[in-house]
Amino acid sequence: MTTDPSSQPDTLNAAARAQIDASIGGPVLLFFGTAIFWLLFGSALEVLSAIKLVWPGLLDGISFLSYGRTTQAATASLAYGWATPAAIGIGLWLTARLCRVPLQHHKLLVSAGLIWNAGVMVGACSILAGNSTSLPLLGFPAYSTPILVLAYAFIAIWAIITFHQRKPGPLFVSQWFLVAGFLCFPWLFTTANALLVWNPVAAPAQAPVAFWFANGFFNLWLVPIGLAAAFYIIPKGIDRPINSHHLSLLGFWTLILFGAWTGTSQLIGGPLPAWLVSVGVVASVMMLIPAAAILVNLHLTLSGHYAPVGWSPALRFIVVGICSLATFWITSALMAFPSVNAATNFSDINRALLLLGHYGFFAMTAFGSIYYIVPRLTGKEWQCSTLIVWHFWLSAVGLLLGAGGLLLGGLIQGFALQEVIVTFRSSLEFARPFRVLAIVGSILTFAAALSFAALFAGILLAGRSRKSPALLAAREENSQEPVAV
Amino acid sequence: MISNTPPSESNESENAAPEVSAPIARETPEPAETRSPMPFWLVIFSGVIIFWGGIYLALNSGGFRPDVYNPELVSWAGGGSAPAGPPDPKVVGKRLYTQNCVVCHQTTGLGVAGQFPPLVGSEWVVGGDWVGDNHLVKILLAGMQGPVQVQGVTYNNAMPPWAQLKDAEIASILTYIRSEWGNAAAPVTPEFVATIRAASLDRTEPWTQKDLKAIPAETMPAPGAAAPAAPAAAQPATEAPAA
Amino acid sequence: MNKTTLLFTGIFLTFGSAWVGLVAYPVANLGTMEPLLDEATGGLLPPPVSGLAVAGQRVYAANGCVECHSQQVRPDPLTTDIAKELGKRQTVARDLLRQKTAFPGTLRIGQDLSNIGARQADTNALHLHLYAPRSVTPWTNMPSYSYLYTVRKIQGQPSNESLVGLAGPHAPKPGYEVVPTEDAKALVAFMLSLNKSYPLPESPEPTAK
Repeated sequence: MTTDPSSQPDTLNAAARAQIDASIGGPVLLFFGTAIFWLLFGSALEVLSAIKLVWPGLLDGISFLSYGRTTQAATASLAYGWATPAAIGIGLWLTARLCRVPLQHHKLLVSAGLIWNAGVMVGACSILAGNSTSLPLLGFPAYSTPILVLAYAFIAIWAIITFHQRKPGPLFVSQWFLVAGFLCFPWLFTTANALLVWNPVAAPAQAPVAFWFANGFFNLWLVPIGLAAAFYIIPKGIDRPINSHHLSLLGFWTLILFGAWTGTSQLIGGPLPAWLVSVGVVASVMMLIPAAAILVNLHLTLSGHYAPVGWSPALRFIVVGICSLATFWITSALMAFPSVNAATNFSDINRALLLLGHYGFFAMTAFGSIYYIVPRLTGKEWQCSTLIVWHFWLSAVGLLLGAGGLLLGGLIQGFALQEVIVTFRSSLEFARPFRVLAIVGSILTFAAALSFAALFAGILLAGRSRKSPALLAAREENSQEPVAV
Repeated sequence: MISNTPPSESNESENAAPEVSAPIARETPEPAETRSPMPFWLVIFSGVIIFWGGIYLALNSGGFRPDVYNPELVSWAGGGSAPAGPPDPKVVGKRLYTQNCVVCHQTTGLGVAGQFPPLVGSEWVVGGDWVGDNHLVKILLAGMQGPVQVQGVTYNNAMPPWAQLKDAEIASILTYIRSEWGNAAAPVTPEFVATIRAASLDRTEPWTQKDLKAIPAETMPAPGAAAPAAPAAAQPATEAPAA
Repeated sequence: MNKTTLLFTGIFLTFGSAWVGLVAYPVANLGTMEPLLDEATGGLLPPPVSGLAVAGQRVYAANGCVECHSQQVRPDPLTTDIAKELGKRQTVARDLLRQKTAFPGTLRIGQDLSNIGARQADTNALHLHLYAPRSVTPWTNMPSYSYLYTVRKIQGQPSNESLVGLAGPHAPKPGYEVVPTEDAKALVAFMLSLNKSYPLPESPEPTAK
């Protein structure tokens, strides 16, 4: 196993790292802090929506609390208030570290963060007030999205300047993912808004664009940023190189190529020419290639060194995130086969997949990344190991109950919807117990968000008294693994 | 402490450089990659999937045509099914009825009790007493208002005019309602509708039952009759606005 | 070409391929669709809808109806949508010509609405279902949209728009009536316009077996 001479050496010593982290700390913490606020807001709305689905009489007849609006506001605030700023914060830190230059233009990023949050606030309140566009993952009305575009423009300008100033040398795999994510997100967002919201095209053309955006938002924005973090933090955490440059190449390019085409596999039998749907089906199945490449690459990297996953919060969350991503892509590939899709489309499986992707992969990976990054920005340790353990188990069990319950319930509901002799009423009754499980899951993920918020507040406000890192479990005495997290 | 000094690679910390905290100090070197070969099974796996994808796309894309929505209906040769021959007026009539009339008369033709009269077994539809085919066409052209008796029950509502529909459309709707739900009356021809339309151009007000009763009944000419003007020849009186 | 340029160009081309296929092509092709001329009757397919129905689409979007209701009839024999009488034929792109926004939907927590105008043509029944869903269908999950209605004192005669058939806890007090707001009227007009009984050559009805 020869080391690739072109993708090292470590020109970044501890002092340089400290300088970089100190220069970028403010904006990144701003993005993380506001993201956690929206995580709480969105998770609370998710709990309310989940309860209303099973008990529609609760708080009924109140316009800004009706199910359609709360569920759209929840999804939008989690996607644009929590996930995107968390991704931006992680991406900014990784860019600075990997470009090996301290941040200039502080104010640009802080302004971007504040403007972005203002835009999300306007958008989320607009949805609850009854101005949603009802497009998937694009619910913010036309007057609020230009605010987000403006904020992102600032970030893009910063990223280009920083990238231009970077130390010469080859690009590490995380940097490929960062470039892809930062390039594809504005392309997706502005195109979708221009064609669907600001000046809508004729309705027959809208479905492919809307689903191109919704799938692209995950596969080409959240996934690349999450993978960039995983490919950086995992090798650093276990002090081993990424196993295979070739697998990294395969995983990256197949992700970009196929990830954008998968949208129309959710419109099998829908108002689209058959070939557009078939291309989406093929692309969804092809996603098994990057799934395998990334999973195998990271597994071979971790192989023999899984012990730190037991005691490092960052590594454990990230590994759970990667496993969820693989599960998401495998399930989506299975659901793309038309004979399966005929039964499973329109069932709760679609909700399960959203949860598995956005929460199971991205939120877990973001939690892990934040656990890694924040001590380096603040110079302090996470204050309470027990609370971190609670955070992990609440989110993991919440994910299992929510996604697992909806997956199973959706399967049963889907077959009921497909059977001619089974009434629609029966499909609701079959789905009901699993939707109750999903309520429990959403309450647990909300509790997890609360504990994470408490931990974040704790580390910001703490002094430097704690000397040793907060771990999930005690590390064995004779372990060879470094405590690098 | 935030430093704006240019990047420095020196090992000694400057006065302005931030202190190296414990988390940063315990970090391992920046990550690298090795050049291990890809597992062979993964290459085979990718190849198999790509091969499957190609075949699936060839078989299920409907020839990449923009007007093929269900590839199972279209062979790979690209032929689509094209309807041949004139459409069945009853099918067209049912479609138009569903689009325009079900709001009041319902898909069952039973109407709504107390509000909209039924068409099933209605003497207005199949003929009876004094009601002729011409009355039915006139109702569709100008609408109806005021109290109306249908099978002994009085309804008092307003039916809008449908003069904006073409002759063929009106004829097909009437043909449909006259042969559905157990009704059995002769189909209505577009020519007959045209004749009645031409003869009632001056009527813009919706008809009342009283007005219509003042007009003598006309039967449609049997198919193959000589001239479409036959009904006019049989009736001496023209319509006069009823008092 | 150095590695960075290669990376940017590569991403641009690969991601761009999907943009061409899923954005540029549909906008150029499906976005310029015209209604067809119906040879049998001389009318347009799909037939035009009222302005009130178009206004109702905004109300449909504003209240997130798409979160529970789909609007696509999928074809026979792959699915049983047609056997379950959600429609007579597959919904195709041209069916969406009279809408401002497409609402295909991804969940059927509630019934598919592609042909609700054909299944349920009674305006009052639709209003009742929006105002107090559980008074019409006791087992439904649908939330109440009573905020789209006004309960007001009867002035002289009851309005001919007032909801008929409210009973029990949903009935207004004696002397009061429930009338729909403009939003509710627009929404119901939109639902009544959801009626794909007309034929389209690209979506033939499945032949009887």
